[in-house]
Amino acid sequence: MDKKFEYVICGLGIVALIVGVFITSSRNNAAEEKYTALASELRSLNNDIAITQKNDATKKQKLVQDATGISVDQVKEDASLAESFFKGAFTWTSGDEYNKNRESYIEKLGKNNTFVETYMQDNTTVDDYNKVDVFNLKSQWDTITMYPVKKINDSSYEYIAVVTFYLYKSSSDLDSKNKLTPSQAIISFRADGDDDARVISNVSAWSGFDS
Amino acid sequence: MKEKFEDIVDFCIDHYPSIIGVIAIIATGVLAVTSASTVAGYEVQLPELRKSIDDAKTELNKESTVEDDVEAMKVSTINARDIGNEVVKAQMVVADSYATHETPSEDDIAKAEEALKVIAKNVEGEARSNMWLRNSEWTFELKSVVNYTGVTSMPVIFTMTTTNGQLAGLVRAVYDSEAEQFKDVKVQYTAIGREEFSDVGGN
Repeated sequence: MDKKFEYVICGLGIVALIVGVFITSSRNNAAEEKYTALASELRSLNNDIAITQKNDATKKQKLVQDATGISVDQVKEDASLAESFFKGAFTWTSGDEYNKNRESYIEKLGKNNTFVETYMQDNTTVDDYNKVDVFNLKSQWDTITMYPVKKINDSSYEYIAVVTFYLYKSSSDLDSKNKLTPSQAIISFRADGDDDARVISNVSAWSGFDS
Repeated sequence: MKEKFEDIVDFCIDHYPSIIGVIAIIATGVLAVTSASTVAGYEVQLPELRKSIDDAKTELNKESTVEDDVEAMKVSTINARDIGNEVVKAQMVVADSYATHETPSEDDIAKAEEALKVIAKNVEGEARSNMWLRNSEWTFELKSVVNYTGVTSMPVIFTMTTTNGQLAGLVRAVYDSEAEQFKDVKVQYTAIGREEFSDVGGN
């Protein structure tokens, strides 16, 4: 083959490669820039939507509070407070645990409080045998539904709450809760105080029977 | 074998400009194909991205419904309270009509029938045919409408209290503002309440 012709092929190939690199890199960059710009615009819009939604939620809460006198945030916080306060009475798996929880409620509410009398009754013990263990009783907390029924002042509310819980014998029973009969406890209490100092008081309880 | 390899090496040395040219042309082709695929990848995503942007702009330009929602909530709360109080009165009329030991007058019967209609109109399902108030002496009141959970469904609670002020029972329900009715009614009595049941019929 003619050497000159070979140099022409070599030259053409190199020129084609250089032009190709230039063109493809321009096209790639242009496409990427277009995509990045749109993606960035979308991110910014979504961010604006999130801010608007947050502002709307805050505004709505304020309007609801103005209209009803009830702070939605406060009720939510009180629901968490109530759950941590009452959960122990409905969550135990042994006589020892039950007794320990009972002592804690007696300390907080007093032995003659209707909550203790109704849901934390004495675990009768005879010769080291106690009722909870003898009957292999266990209890599992399920939910609490709270109804604010009275606003005492800006930070003090009275509630009626219904706690749903399950009495069971074996942990495997909890695998199919629909086969267990839920029990329901009716409780009334007051929540007041600020933030970390918020406390539950005036607790009363009744056993609930379906109609 | 060795000779063949040496022949190939000699050929490459002799024709290196052509070989470089051919390799450059092949590389250009590969580059073109790869670039086309990359660009196509971006192009495919662009329409979806543009649609998402349009949707987001529409969402962002939507007028806030907060004031309207709160107004609707106020209206629903008032309706829930009005209807709840109607049901309370109706339950008391029916309980009273059962409580009397005398033969009720035609007027009393008419009032009780009217009250049952009020209950039937405002309560959904089986709960409308059951008397909630099981003692005419009890105080029955709509205690709370939980109106911050939503506009169309508002949980409500009624309480029944004995003459001694003890809690006799609860009626929990959800007010459906579209149907203007109470649904998902759950009635529970306390032990004290059950002790004070009197014959009010219906159950």
